[in-house]
Amino acid sequence: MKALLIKDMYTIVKMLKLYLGLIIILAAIPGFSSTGFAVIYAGLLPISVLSYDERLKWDKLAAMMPFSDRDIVVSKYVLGYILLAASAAVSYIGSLAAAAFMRETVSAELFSQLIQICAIGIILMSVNMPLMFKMGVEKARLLFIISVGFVIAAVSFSQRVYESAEVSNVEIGSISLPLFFAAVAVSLVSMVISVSIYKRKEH
Amino acid sequence: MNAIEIKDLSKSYGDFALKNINLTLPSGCIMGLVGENGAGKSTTIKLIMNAVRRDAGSISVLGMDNESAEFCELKNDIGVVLDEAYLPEALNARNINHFMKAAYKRWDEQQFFEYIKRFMLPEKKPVRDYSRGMKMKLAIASALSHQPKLLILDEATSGLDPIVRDEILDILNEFTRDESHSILMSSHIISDLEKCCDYIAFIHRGELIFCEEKDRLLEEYGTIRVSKERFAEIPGDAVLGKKVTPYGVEALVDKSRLSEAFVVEHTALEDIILFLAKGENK
Repeated sequence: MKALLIKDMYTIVKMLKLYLGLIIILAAIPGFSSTGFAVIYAGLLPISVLSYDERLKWDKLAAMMPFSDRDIVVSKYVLGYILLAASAAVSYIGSLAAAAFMRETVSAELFSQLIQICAIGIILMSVNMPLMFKMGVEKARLLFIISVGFVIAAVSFSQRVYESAEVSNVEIGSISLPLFFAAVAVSLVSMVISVSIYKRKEH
Repeated sequence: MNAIEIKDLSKSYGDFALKNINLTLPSGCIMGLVGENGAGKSTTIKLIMNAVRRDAGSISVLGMDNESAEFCELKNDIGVVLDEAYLPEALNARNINHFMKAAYKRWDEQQFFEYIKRFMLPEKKPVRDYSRGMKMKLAIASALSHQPKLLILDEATSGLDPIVRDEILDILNEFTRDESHSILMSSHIISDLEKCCDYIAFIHRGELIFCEEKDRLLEEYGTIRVSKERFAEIPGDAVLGKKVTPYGVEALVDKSRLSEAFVVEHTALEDIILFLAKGENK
């Protein structure tokens, strides 16, 4: 799996550097929206790598190499987790740096906000991955756009509900860990489905 | 031990079927897989590597059933070059080395860079900027640099110039000097196969027509050019294929079934394949 991650990291750095740069800049800007966009987009980068692999018919060569179907699929999820964690870390460091510059204290709920954003990123990636493996990135693109739109709408809606119901930050923060564990569970189920889809494919 | 053993292999795709393939590649030998486009050569190779599922039959590679759980690990011993390089094109040769080093247990970095030098490939240029020939050379360098025992090449030399092809054939011959090393290669360039192969397997429309030692094929078969009247005197079972022209008949014959009264010319492997592939047989 290490080899597959090396290959994908090279691909991201060399082919998707513009997106990578945008993610880093947005992640470094303090604020829920920019951080949210950066972290969620980072979690979707594996889909861009998958699209690139598809265009090159990489799966044909991968099938000849000592990689199991499980490794090929799981490596894309692991790549997503690494990118999500890295962009969340950049966001956290960016917020700390901004707070230090402004001589302010960092917001107490920043950490729980980042966990929530990461959870949303994991769910979004996990919902899309099986579709991508099943239909191919090109064919699944419309479903992908719909799912991203749905998640953005759901997040905005829940924000408004919290605001109107005057839910405290402490209460919002308390959903972070359950949401994160739910995302991990969704991701594990998604991984199992994706592996079984990939195993049925012929290369 | 045989490098590859295929028994009663079948695979159907609806409009195409590979039927009852039986083929054995002994260790230390080179086998050429010949056939027209769509004959089933690439399907056979994909089946050998378990990249597609077989409908029936059995395949053993380096003594292991290719559907066993350990086969993935055995791929460390198999170098494969497909009809295209299919390498990640954003990477350069150095990046490919880094990636392959993590992928293969016995990746030989030094050997890889020796091939890179020998093939005069730029180390820092991304693969996407390589010509097709350069990409194929990089794929061949990669397949040879993890100390494989079996090499499988699927049309890997097509599109390469004769000088490079000749160089690659030399490398393949070097590779089989070790008796535990074997090669299965499919190619349209029959002259290349004639140069280096010990065995020739001919697949036509999904069926294995023959799998024979090359020298035996060239010894047993010959060509005759006679008039139509004289052709009528030849026993039917001696003729394997014929071509009727306004000037007479040209036929591929089994020398052992023909009387010495006929002058039989030496035949090239390409002629044998053409006679057997074209419909106007017997």
